[in-house]
Amino acid sequence: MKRPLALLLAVLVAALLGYGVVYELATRPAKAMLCHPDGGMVWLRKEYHLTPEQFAKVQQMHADYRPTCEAMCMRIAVSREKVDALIAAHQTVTPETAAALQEWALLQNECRVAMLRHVYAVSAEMSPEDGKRYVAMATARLVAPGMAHTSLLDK
Amino acid sequence: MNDSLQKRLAEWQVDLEAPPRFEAGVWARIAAEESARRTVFDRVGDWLAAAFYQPRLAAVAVTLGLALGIGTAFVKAQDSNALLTRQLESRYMETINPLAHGGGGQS
Repeated sequence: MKRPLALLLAVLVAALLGYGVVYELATRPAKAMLCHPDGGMVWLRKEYHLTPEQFAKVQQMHADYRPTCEAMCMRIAVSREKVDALIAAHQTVTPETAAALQEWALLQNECRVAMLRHVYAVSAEMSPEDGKRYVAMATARLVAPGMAHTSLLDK
Repeated sequence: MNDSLQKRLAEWQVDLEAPPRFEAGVWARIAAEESARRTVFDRVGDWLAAAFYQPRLAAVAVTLGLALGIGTAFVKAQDSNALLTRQLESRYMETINPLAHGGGGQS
């Protein structure tokens, strides 16, 4: 009775070993990208098949855009705080609240335009097919930035 | 009388020969009765035990286990990679989208 049990154990070990090795090998590239400090850019290079030259250009564009993006992010955060404070302070829509909301909306729009400009510029560095895919992915988040691109497309 | 009987009994020799394969037949009948009492699970267990003693079948079983593990890993890795890709996509988008940091009303 020992031999069948040993064989069952061997089958189990073979299955677990096969699973572990293949799963690790198959997911290692994506995990490595996720652990990379600049994983987003590494993913962009791989996902949109960028050549070293294309990637260098995109990285430069990214570096140039970053201060603009951070500044806009800060302005939006300040505007959002102002809106929140005004809403909390009043029971009705005051002219100040309306103005703050309008300012917030204008800022968001300004950010969208800047981002869209950057997205088009980056896509121009890619092959036509990849560029089209990239624009579709990035612009799907223009309206609802918190939502995943794929979930928006699914809807 | 008793002495005479004892003497006769002592002299009596039985000269009987068992029919051919008599012993094998007895064992076969015993085995058949035992077999009739065995459940399906007993039979399957016996069959498996016998099968595991054959090296070729053992090798097939281990190979099947390995193949099952590898196949499952491929399917699972696809799901995991899709999830990791979404996370990477989000991470990239956060670096170019000022609205992705909570100021855009999605916090």
